[in-house]
Amino acid sequence: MRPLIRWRIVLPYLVLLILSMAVFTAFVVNTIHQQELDRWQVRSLETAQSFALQTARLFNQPGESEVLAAFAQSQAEIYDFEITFLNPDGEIIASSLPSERWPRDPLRMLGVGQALEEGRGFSRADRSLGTALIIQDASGQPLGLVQLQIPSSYYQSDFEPVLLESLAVIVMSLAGLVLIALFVRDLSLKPMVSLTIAAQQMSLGNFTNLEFPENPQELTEVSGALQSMANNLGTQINALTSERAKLSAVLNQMTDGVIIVDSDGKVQLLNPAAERLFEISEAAALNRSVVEVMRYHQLVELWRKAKSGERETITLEIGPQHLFLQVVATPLKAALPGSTMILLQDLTQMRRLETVRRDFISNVSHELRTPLASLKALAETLQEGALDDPPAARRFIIRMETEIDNLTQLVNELLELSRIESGKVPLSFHRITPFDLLKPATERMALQAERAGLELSLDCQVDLPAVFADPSRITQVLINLIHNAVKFTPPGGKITVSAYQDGDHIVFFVRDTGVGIAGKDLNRIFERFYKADRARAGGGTGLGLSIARHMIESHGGYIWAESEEQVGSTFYFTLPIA
Amino acid sequence: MPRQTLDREIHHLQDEVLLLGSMVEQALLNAIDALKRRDVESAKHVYLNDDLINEKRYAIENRVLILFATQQPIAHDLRLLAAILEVITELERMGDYAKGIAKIVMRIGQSDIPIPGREISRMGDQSVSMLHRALSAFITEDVPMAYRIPKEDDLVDDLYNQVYHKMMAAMIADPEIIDHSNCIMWVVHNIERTADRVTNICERTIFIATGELLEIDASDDEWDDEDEL
Repeated sequence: MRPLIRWRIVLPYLVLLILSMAVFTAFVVNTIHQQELDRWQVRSLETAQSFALQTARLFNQPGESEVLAAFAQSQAEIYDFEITFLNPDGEIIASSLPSERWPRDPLRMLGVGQALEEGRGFSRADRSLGTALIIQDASGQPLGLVQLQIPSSYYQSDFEPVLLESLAVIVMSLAGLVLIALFVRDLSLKPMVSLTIAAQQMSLGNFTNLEFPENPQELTEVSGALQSMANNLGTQINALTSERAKLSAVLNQMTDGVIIVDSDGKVQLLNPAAERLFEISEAAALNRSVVEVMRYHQLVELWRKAKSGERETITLEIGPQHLFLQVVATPLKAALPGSTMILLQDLTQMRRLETVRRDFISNVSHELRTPLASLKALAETLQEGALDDPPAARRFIIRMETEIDNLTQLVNELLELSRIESGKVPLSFHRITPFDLLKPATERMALQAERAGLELSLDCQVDLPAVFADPSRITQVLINLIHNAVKFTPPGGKITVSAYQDGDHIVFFVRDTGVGIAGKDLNRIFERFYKADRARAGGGTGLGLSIARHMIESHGGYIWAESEEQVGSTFYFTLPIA
Repeated sequence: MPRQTLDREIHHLQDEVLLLGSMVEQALLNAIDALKRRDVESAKHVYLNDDLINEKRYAIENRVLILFATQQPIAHDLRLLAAILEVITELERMGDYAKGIAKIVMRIGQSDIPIPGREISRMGDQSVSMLHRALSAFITEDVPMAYRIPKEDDLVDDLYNQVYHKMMAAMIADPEIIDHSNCIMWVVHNIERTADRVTNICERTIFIATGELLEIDASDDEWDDEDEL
């Protein structure tokens, strides 16, 4: 490409140069030639004149032809060209040529015709030139003609060296000129080349460290313009790139799904959150129809409505995953005509929490209502006459007290749970051995177990490493677990309380031989108000295990249960070794 | 030009099939949800919306027939259009299952006899998920996926058997709930049939891609096809 440009500039000049040189050469050669001929014309005429003077007296003498022939012979030998004498009628009298080579028509000899009319004649043929002159006597009467026939080799031998020399000079100067032209061309093209390289770099997106030519004047303006363009473009591209990076960071990191659909219903953008929602990769979704990507007719309908009008919002539950979404479809109008942006907010988690909260409130109300209803019934019975029967009234009062105790316990536990959950329960941590934790709890529950006809045993090594815990709180958890075991174990059963070391933790457990817990309930027994068997658990508030879990977790431990129905359950919890 | 028309029309039809599928999926989920919540109003809604499903099915069928008449599709296009006819029939039938479930919800009303809600939910979610993916495979002609999906039918069948045994035990324990339990059996049966019909969609997917019409043996068809409430 680049050599072509160079030659395109140089070639016309070169052609012009060669043409003018050729014209000049032709002119010079022609002129030299003409001058040479002229010179020869003069010279040959002078020679003819001298011959005429010498031979005038020989005419019209007896034996003139022999004498003239002898003269012609002698002169031809000297000059090395042919000499012919003719009479005024144009017939050959004598010649240096042998008679057999005499021309048949002497009038057509070079210069003869002209000489007969004008007194002198000069003519040129391919290989020779001829000069003829009338020879006159003293009175001016024509005596005859002398004709000189000079071969061209005669004068060309003079002319050729001149021609060659001038040609050589011309060729050499031409070569010199071409060299100079090439040199000048490279010099003037150099800025062009560097400009081209700079432009190419720009087209590749490189806007820094470009080299621009500093001269000549005409190019500096162009390169100046190019340079400022490069700077502007560079800044703009940088600005756009960083803007784009920010936008894509937002799009990639945001938890809401974003989809942009063009007017043909083809998906043009899909962010990672939307990828997760619809279980499709962006690469697979791009340029696919919105139906194929979203796959939910309600959303497609929403898009269709928004496409032809205003922003549309819908809240819906979709799919076997039961995703709960709030979807906003906005026509992009001016920004991207015909396109629609669909924003998907996943409210599934939030709705789940909402459900938990609603369940909690309804549970609390339910738990409160039961003792309140019996209180109300007892109070009404008293009002309606039981007061008059003191023994009955006393019984009722005792039952009312029990109900109030239950209510108080429930309210206290609720308060406690809310305090633990919000982290407001102060814990006073001490180093204490597992045995010292287990012993008081077991002792306090011994009587209750005995009454229920159960065997409660503490089976723990005394020398286990100490844990870091709030003893009163952990005792409370243990009592709760043993209490549950007592409640769900039929008479004659066995409850074992123990602990062992596992890595940097101590695992405590309470094992019973009770009714056990069904697999489906096992995960849920630590939830608030969850009661595996409502009929049996009647007495409790359903908060004990929930409180236990929070307590253990705030000690940095875990609590879980293993169970087999009709065989027994084991509740475990861990505490970190101090 | 005609080629482009055909391509565009086929794309459009595929989208329509997906929309019909989505309507059926939602109808099934809504019907099961209505059952769990004993929501008669919601069930009525599903029951009435079945008309929309049927309408859409006939609209698609019409367009396919017009394409047959005007474009004379051959080879792959022909198989695809024929398969669409088959698939929309399957979808419509699944819609009828949803309608059947809705009808049962309306019949048992607010009764507080317990139902195995968790198993029924799982069956429904599993069937709808299979249907959803089967339609994806149908549109993208994903043959390996079409072979994989029918295998998941076992899960639905397992759940079906669980509910069956539970209901049997409940009926033996308390003959007064026989009518109610029988209704619940119809519900799970409808769901089970839905999952079976997903297999047919997968068969059509393989047919479009390979031209081979084969029977995927997914589940024991001990129940007659023509049952519908």
